[in-house]
Amino acid sequence: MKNNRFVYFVLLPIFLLLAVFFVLPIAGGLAISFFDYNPLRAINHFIGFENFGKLMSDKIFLKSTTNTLVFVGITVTLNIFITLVLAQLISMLPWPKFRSFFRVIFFMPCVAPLIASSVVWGGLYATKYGLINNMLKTFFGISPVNWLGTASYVMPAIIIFTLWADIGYNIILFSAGMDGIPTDFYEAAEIDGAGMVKKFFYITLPLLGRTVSFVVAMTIISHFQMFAQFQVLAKLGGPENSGNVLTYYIYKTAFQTKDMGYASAIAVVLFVLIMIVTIIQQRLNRVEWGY
Amino acid sequence: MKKFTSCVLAVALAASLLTGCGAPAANSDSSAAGKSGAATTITLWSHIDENWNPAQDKMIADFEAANPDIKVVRESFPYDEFESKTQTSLLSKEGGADVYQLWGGWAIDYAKTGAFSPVPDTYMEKVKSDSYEPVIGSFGYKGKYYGVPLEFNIEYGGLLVNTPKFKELGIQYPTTWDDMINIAKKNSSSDGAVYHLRGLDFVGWDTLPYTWLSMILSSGGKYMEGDKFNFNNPVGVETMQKLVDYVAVDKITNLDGLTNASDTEPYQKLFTSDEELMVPRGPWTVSEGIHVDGLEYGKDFEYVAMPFYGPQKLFAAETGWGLAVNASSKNQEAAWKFVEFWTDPDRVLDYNIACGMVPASKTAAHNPELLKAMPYLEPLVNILDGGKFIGYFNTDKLKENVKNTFIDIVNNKTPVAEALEKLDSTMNAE
Repeated sequence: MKNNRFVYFVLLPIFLLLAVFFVLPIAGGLAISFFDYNPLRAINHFIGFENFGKLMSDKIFLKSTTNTLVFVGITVTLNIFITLVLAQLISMLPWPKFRSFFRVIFFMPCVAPLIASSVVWGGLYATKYGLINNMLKTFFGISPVNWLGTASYVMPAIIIFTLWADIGYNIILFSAGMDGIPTDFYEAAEIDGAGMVKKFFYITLPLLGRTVSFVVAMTIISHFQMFAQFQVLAKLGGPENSGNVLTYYIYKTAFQTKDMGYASAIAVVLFVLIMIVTIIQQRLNRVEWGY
Repeated sequence: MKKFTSCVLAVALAASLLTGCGAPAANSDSSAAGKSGAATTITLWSHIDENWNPAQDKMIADFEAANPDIKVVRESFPYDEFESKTQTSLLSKEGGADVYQLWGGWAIDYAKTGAFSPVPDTYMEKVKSDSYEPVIGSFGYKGKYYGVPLEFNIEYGGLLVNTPKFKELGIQYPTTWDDMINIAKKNSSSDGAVYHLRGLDFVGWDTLPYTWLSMILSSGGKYMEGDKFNFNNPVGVETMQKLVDYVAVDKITNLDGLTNASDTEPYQKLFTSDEELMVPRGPWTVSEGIHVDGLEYGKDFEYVAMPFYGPQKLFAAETGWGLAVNASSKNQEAAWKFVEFWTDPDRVLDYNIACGMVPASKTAAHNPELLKAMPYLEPLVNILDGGKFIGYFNTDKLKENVKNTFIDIVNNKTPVAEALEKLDSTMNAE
């Protein structure tokens, strides 16, 4: 009993912090979504679920939701696959200095602010004088492509940029996870004649379960919330809203059209979407055992 | 010892917290004016602009010389943050400024909230009688006005031309709409997605809607019936079809101005590359070409009259920059005194010239000093009476939807009437 009191007492500050800076804003956002809200207005009218009702007939919202799910689905899948492979390759390097060198190289884009990297990549994707088009023309004779001005190319272009900018974190996390797997398992597998691929699928991957679960969850959440590259690379939502995602649509609705109640309703949908996907992912990745 | 160290740390932390209170906002630029302890001190908020801020300081200095009992402090913020700072300060009811130099379109959001003080009636009568129609539109709400205009924001009527290119091609500047389109058609060149020269680049966030609205108005058409949008009418369809054909068939420009992620607008491309022959844009771009890009007016580029599509010289304009007084200001009288001093037609002209603005005041616009200082404004001064207030709505919403409609028609070959019907229903949905 005394112990419990002490625990509650010690945890109280952090709970207060969470309540003030996380729970209250979320509750506030949820409350605002039921109003025709303008912060400057003395009286904001309660409109119930009207904002949520509008969502289903809002074509831009539906397009933004689709774009968000496509972006998160493809980018996270590719991210996890690429980072697992690269982390495995790095961990196989025999020299620790080489391993550190490659980790640093891959991590470098994560250090740069996303907004600045996006501006640089905007230059790389430029139709005229862009490095990517110049290389395509020089090496393959392909005519210049308007990467960011053609609806069908915008999302792939942003996905490629995001992968470049974001794989460093997960490589570090997977590398750390792989380094933590006892070598006994690999030695035993080698005695049984297992090759590199079998060792990866039967030892590394299962024993990396908790790390994979954590990394997938964090990557999904962070990708749902990505905003900077969409604002920079998909100008004004991109052609035919091909680069309009929920975060950008929330920003535009709240601060350009100043419809904060509606923007909050979209934010609530995004919140619920992230929660559902995270719960499903956590269920699927439940790890029953450890080492 | 530990206790002493803890005490020192606690005091240091408390001191650091206190120093944060009341400190000027980071990222802000304050004038030196009004630093001495005066009877009444009022604050002016504006955004950071290398031409505008010195002009504001001069206005403040002149005002203080004429009113020694009032001091004015200017605080300026980066443009990107300015609107949200304005909104937050008005919301708090205690912080913020006494006087704001704000974009007229924002007043639409603020007027109905009671955040701004209504302009005194006698003063407003003077302003109205000396102002062009579009410049006060956004400040009015239910018979009252909540701001005073400083400029006539005009995005139609002037054409930036690539002077060296015209010389190289051996052609004269256009004087009629057909002439302009023919020059553009003849001289545009592209290679797939890459444009070497855009003859007439009207595809931009501001330029496209203003070009279209002027085409409608100058043809004797309308785009609003009362407070409802009605683009889907014969004139609306015909003019939109023309604009679409200029891109899809004649290829005098492409959609880059609306879709390409490069933050370079068509007028900036004209200043910095040889990719543009003619770009319609407001006169404020001229000073950017001269002061930011270091170009020589008359040699590197010129600003000429843009022909009208139809027989009438009419165009749409939204309310530009103006001044408003915070309803929570404790110094209303001093604040209005300052605003009235600033907007005096003879005095505001100097400010307009320093900022490269077209005056909102008819007296100032017809003062010969204006054209002496900015001769390139001549084509615009002649058409200011044809300006029509764009309408009391969020213009960003219109621009956004016109952009989407135009791209949809060009890329997906959606029939114009069908697309405009959709545009009407979207714009009227509120």
